[in-house]
Amino acid sequence: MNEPITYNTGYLDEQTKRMIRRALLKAVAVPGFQVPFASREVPMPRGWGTGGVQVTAAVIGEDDVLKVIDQGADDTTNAVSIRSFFATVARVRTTTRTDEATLVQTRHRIPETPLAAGQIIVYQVPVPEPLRFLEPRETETRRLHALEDYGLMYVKLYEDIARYGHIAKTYDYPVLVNGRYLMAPSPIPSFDNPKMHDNPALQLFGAGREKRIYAVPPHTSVESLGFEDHPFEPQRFDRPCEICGSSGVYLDEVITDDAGGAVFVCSDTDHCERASLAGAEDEEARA
Amino acid sequence: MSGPAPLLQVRGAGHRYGDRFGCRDVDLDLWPGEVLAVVGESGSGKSTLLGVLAQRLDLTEGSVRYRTAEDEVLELGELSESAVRRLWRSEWGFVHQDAADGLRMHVSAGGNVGEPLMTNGWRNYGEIRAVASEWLRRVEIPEDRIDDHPTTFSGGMRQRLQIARNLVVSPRLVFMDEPTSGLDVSVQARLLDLLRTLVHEFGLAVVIVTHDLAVARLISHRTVVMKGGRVIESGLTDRVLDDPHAPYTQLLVSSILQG
Amino acid sequence: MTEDPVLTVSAVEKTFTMHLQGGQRLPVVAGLELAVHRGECVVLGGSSGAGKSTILKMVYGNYTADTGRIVVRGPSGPVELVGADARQVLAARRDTMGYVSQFLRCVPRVPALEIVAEPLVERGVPAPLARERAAAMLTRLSIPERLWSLPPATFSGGEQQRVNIARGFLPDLPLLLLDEPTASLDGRNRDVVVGLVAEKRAAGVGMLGIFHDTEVRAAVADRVVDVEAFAPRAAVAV
Repeated sequence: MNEPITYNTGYLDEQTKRMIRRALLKAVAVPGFQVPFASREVPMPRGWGTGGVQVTAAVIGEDDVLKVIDQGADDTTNAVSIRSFFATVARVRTTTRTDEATLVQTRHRIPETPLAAGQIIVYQVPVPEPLRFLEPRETETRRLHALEDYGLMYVKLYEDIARYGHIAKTYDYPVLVNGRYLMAPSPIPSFDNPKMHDNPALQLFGAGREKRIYAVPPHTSVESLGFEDHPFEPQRFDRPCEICGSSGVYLDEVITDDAGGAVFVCSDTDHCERASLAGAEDEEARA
Repeated sequence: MSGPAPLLQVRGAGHRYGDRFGCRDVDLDLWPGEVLAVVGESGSGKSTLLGVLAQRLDLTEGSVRYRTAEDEVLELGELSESAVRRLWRSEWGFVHQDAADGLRMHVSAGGNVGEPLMTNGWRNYGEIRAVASEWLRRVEIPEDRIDDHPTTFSGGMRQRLQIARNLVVSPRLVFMDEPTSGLDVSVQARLLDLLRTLVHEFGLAVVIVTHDLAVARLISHRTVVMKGGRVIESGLTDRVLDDPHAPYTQLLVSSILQG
Repeated sequence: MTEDPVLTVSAVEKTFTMHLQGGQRLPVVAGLELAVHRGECVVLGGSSGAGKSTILKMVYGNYTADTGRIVVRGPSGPVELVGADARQVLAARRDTMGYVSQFLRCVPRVPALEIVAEPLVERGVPAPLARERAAAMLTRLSIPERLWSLPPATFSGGEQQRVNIARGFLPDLPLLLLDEPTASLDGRNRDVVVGLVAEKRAAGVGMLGIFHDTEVRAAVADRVVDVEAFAPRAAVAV
């Protein structure tokens, strides 16, 4: 009686996967539209990426190569847990290299390495409704989406400009998908928003606790909202990564000592590692 | 009589709450630029009638026809929700008795007045702010309060803000539900004066529900008196108030407190 | 005076029914007949309570006439006011007839100059010109300039009435109804009103008025119509 437990591929049963895939098909057919789905129990609590896990579980196959990142890093506790979870239940090869992965599950970042056709990126989403904090009623937000009545979102941007002189949202910055649906891109930094536009990869979004799935098919237009005279401006960093020297990448601030000393380093660990390696190889070659 | 066609034509309108009628057999017409007062006491059906006209309540009986800016006559009971919303965005306004119901209390005054513009596709912050500012001036709210929240405004100021928010898209028809009730008397006078000026300047058609006959006299061309859900009497406002025919109208008129 | 009258009243009857007093009926006039021609001032005579004011109000549309005909001749032709709908009455008030009452009744908070100018502005006169003419009229009625920007609610009775008169006499309308306009005025201002009436008469305006002061009446009336000739039979209680 000591047989190891065998899991169905991807942990979820086939009926559940079918249900999620149907939701995914609907989501892809109507870019940016939030499709409700029957969110299942998975071996982690709500708020820890269950939506992303369910979407990944529904699309993953034994031929896939999976990368999992959390705030850009492959080595945080959660990224490691989820990666080893799928290694066990889906028997897939895993990687930290974006260019080797067929499937990337991410919490709150888009990798620096541009994605390619045939890749799927799955975002973990806490609050799928972009208007939620402006209009708490679900009945009302559904109507607003149906009637394309998005004045409220612009009111929020107006208020920011009136109060701060500029739009204050720096993450989960609202976007208009395919010129029709207002979408919450998940708490990725606004720095990453431009990467969503006309992306050759398939972008899938899962919110487990809120029970919603949505999608942006390859090469779909994704515009970040703004005014004509106050257009969307992604964050900018005026310094390079202290480890690999890359510029034009999203940086994390890392406190290094009790005196408050800090360094700014790449948030995308895979990118940083490979850039450093390439830098070191260059130096060796020159030496 | 020739001239412009009526904006609103109501025939036999009624709304049922369960087995009781809130209002019944109501006929009325409204022309562009005309102010119609619907007066009555509590339970008269005047608020139900307003709800039916403004499409907030279903029309159980009868018909309500509205003529749009494109001169199309719509049977309001048959409109889809998106068509109704479109009317609210461009041709109709609704001033609530309690300004808090008609405003976003935690959005600045400028944001409140600018929202209908943004909903209608305005995407230039400077222009939105300029128009909002202009409207604040028109309703006599100091322009330096444009970034303040209505929670910091007095009752009269909130009501004037609500009016600005409603009029910024130049509607043709505005519904008002007891807009001056609950305000101090001097504030009421100021508000009514403002309404008169705006109605005249913008050629608005208004349906105003009020229990206060003095308000009806001050601001309306015609008055409809309601009791028990039905129209008891209607006509030119000064005629209805000075030469009331129906017993109930005579009672109502004689009950006005005189200083 | 061979042209049609500016106002024709025929076979008009009016009875008030006081529902709050058990339905008691109060007949006021019956078989009323009168006409006002252009350039003439007709005065309604008769004792107090005979129905003079009621007649003026019926012509203006403020009271309803039970039966009969009230025809005013305006710029677009004759208009039958008995049984007319509200919009027709409002149009007649805008284009054809003005009313000067005994007391000033106006919107609170509006300055005197604006109140007097308003009837002109409503009829399409540009605001600056309307205010100019209003100012001239107020000056004529001895309302000092310092009062022009104040709401009349704080004025004396006589001052309020002079604002009322200014407002009523300013627009150019074919028919003017005057309900005791001089009641609260002193001699000098009464004379001013007599002068205003004479000017209107000379301009071809028809006027129907009630004047209690015998001197004023003598100065303005072309004809006096005794309203008591149209008194109904005694009041009938239900």
